[in-house]
This record gives sequence, C-alpha cells and structure tokens, in this order.
Amino acid sequence: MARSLREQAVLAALGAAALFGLTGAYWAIKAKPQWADARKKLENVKRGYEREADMISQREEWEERYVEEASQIPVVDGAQGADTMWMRVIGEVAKANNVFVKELKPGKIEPMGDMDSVKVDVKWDGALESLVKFMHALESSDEGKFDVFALSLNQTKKQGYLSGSMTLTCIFKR
Amino acid sequence: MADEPDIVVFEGGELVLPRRLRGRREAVLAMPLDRLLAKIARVPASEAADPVAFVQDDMKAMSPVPDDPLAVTCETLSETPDHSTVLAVALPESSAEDVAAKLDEAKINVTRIDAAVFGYVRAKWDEIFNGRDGGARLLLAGEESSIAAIAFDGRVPCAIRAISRGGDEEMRRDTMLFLMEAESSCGMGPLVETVTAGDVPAAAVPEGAGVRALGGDMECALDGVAARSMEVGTANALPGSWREVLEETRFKSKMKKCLAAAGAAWLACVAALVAVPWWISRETSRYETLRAQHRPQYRKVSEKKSQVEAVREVSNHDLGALETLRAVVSCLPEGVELSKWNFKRGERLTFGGTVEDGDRQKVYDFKDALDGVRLSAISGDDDDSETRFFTSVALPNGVTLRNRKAAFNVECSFAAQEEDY
Repeated sequence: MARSLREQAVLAALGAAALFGLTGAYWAIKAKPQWADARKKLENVKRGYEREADMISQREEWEERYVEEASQIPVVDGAQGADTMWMRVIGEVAKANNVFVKELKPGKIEPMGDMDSVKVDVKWDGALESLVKFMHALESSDEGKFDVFALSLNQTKKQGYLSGSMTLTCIFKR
Repeated sequence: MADEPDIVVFEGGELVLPRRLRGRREAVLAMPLDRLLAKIARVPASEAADPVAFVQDDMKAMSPVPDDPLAVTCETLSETPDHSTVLAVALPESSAEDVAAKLDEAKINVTRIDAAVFGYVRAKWDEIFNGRDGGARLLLAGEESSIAAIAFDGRVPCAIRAISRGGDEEMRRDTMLFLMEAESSCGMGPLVETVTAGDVPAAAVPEGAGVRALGGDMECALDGVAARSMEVGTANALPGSWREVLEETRFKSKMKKCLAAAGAAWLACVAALVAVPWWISRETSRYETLRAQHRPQYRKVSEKKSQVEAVREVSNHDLGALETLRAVVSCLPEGVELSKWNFKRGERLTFGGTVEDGDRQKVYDFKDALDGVRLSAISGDDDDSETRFFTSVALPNGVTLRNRKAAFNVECSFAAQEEDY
C-alpha cells in the first residue's frame, strides 16, 4: 500500500534516528573506551619521548657533572687486584682506630661506565667511640671513596663493647 | 528583497522558456487569455468580504466543464463605498491537461498562473492612458490564437474577453458585443480611443474612435507578470490540484535535503569513528619511532646520570650511617641506652634500647625529638631546614617494662634525598 508523504517522512526520520542511535551506541560502548585507551597510550609515549628528549638536551650538563665527580674518584693501578687493595685500606684504618675486624669479604666488582664499584662486608668488634672514629676516617679517606651502606650493631656482654657488621661501598677508577 | 521568479509562457500549445531557468524547477506560468476564464465584476460592498463566493456561479457558468471543481481567484481593481470592481480568474483543470503534460515533460512546477496580457497592462499602464485619464478606452492585445480585449472606464478596467481570431465579420461582431457588454455592465461611456498591442487585425478594431498602437513585446509582458507575482493581492489562477502537487513536490524536496544533510552528518560521524583512532595510532607510531631513533643517545645520557648519582650517593654523607648515628645520639635522653642498631642507607633504621628507671615518658620524649630532627641540623644547609631527617618515626611495640627497665624498639624511614643540581 502506497504510503502518504507524511508517513514516509516519519519513517525516514525514525530510520535516521535509529541509524544515529546505533552509531551513538557503538561509539559509547565500544569506540569511546578504545579511544580513551589509545589516547592514554599516546600520552604515555609522548611524555616518555619528551622526558627522553629533555634528558638528551641536558647531555652536556651531565657530562660536565660527571667530569667534576669523577675527578674526586681515586685511581687504582690497573695491575693491582682492587679487592685486596680495599681490604688492606679498611684493615689499616680499623687498626688505627681500635676496631677489631673479624672478617672482610669483598663482593663482586660492578662496572659503572669507566668507574667500578665494590661492596665489602665487614664483621667487627669495638667500642662505640672507636666505631665512630673508624667510620669517619673511612669517609674522609684520600685512598678511596667509601660510604657505609649498611650498619648493624649489638651490645656484647663486655660493658661498652659492641659487635656487629657493616657493608662498605667503594667507588674507584682503574 | 525577494528573488524575482522565473517565468514560462504557454503559447501555441508549447512551453516557451524566454529566459533560462536559474537552476530552479519552479516558475510562474503566463497563459494566453483564451485559456483562462476571466471576468471583471462589480461586487457590492455587502459581498466584498468574500468576492469569490459572489462570482463563483458566474465563473462556473463560463467553464467548458461546469461540474469540474474550479479554483477562482479574485483581484480587487478598484473600491468605492458602494462596490468593488474585481477581476476574477480561474483555470479549468480538465481543459489544461495539455499544459500540465508539457509542464511534467519539462519537470517544471508552477507556483502561479497569470495571464500574459495582465503582465503587459502592468508594464505599459501609463502608456495605455498616455496622460489622459477620462473616457472609455479599449485595449486590444494580439495573442497567438486570440485577441485579448480589456475595456477601461477611466483608469478602471471594467470588462475583459478573449476575442477569437476568425473571419473579419466574426471578429467585428465579437468586438461590438464586447463593447455593448462593457457599456451595460459598468456603464462605460462612448469609446474615446482604441489602443492596440501586437498583431491585431483591423477587423477587430472598432470604428469611430482613434487608434493608437503601443510597442512592447513578450519581454515587457513577462516583466509585468514577474512584478505582479511579487505583489500581494494579485490573482493567481493555480488550480487546487496543481497547488497540492506543488506542495507535495516542495515537501519531497525538503525531505530529500534533510535526508541528505542527515546522511552527510552520519557519514561525518562514521568518518570521525574511523579517522580519530587512525590519527591517534599514527601519532603513537610517530612518537615511538622518534623514541627508537633517539634511544641510543638517551641511554648514554641516562648512564652518565646514573654514574653521577651513584658517585654523589657515596660522596654525600648527609643521610649516611655516621650522620644518622649522630642525629639519634643528639636526641638521646639521660638514662636511655641503645642496645641494638640496624641501618640501611636510604631505606630504614631500626634500633632498640632500655630506660634504666623504667620511665616511659623518656621514650616518648625521645621519639618526639627524633620526629623533630631536621636535615639542616646535619647538613648545615639552611635550605634543608624544612626537611625532616626521618620521614617517619614509630614505636611498633610500644614500651614494655622488663626487670624494672623500660624496653623499646624504634623504626625510622628516610626521605629520598633531593639533589641540588
């Protein structure tokens, strides 16, 4: 049966509304979350790029700082085994400050560009005052760049006498 | 200003487009007078509200098919307190089928129907009277198959008829009859002048009055028709069914435009649904490519930075074991002894101790003092005066009394040290 113009117009309007509705529903349910994820990924990638570009732009500054810091790092004779050297230095400083070193155990030498780093575990006994002097002497030593990475101590039965362990970090250049 | 309409002419059985239709398919149709029903009537003032009803019966009587519906249109020519002089025009649908067929063929929709001679009169109004308003005047305008005759009483048209082109006697008789009708219907006086336009045979021109020929052609008649179509109150002989077709066509055209606009909008939405994720993906790839390109340089700088930070960590003892010991000892109250200590750089400090006299308050005061230690007290840098040495200080097990001594354990954590680069 032929439809009147008005009926055709209403059907066309309903059809258009249905089409827009389906498209809108597709966007809201599927496309919008996908867009959000994609935009988030883009923002992350873009931020990462900008961060890296910023870092690259600071290349000269970091080079300068490195040169400045590296100038304070002691140089070790390449022929010497670095771990034995530090064991000797630590032992000497301990003895000079009345700290008894029970055990010295060097760790693996970790390369850091043109510098090296090594952790040395030390088991010791001594008075608190001696311990403080020992740590201070190490930190101010010219023979090496030392830092006390970890320190644990307990009281012994002997009054005023402590026992414990520490981990020293040492950085050097060959 | 409204757009001037396009005009098409029906002449000699054919549609003539004097000017190119300007892309529109709607036009005003100018018809010869003999294809229309036209009458000039005097409508009493009492009937002036609905002149169509007054003339309807007369117009139907004029129609070749009186039973056909007739859409009569009226145009007021003059008004007096007693009556109005009205031009009534109509186009019988059944006698205009050939016209409708030509229009369908040309795909033209007619918005108005007017008589070409009305347009000519409109265009040549002043020239018709030539400065002389008084007296009776007859205008004879030659058309294809007839002569349009309009009688004027002064400046008011009072009778109208299409005189068929035939033999001389026939035309002479028709003209006479027409003048007599004009005299009786509107009291027109003796004829002062006959004005001719176009091809008017001499036999149609009444004798006894002066004859004056007017110039002008189809173009000025069409200008007059165009001007009339833009005026309010002029007659429009468009039949009822043709009007419906026109409205239907306009509605369909609007609907098509709306659907086209909706379709375009929908396509734009779909295009956006496709284009947006494509663009985001393209930008993401672009940045990923840029990152891959500069990664080696970034790695070098990053490594350099790591080395600088590693060296500084070892060199900067502000949060080192010795300084931490110093910070704690500086807060240690009288009578409090430390018995164990566990420190890891940059992470945590835990230590335990006892209070000789079992005074819990000393432990609490000690904890508060540790909370209040500032980095500037250790580093000596006034910029660190707001920075806490320990980010948190806690007594996880509280204070317990054991052998009249108060025992405690403290857990402290460190802030990430800011680098002064």
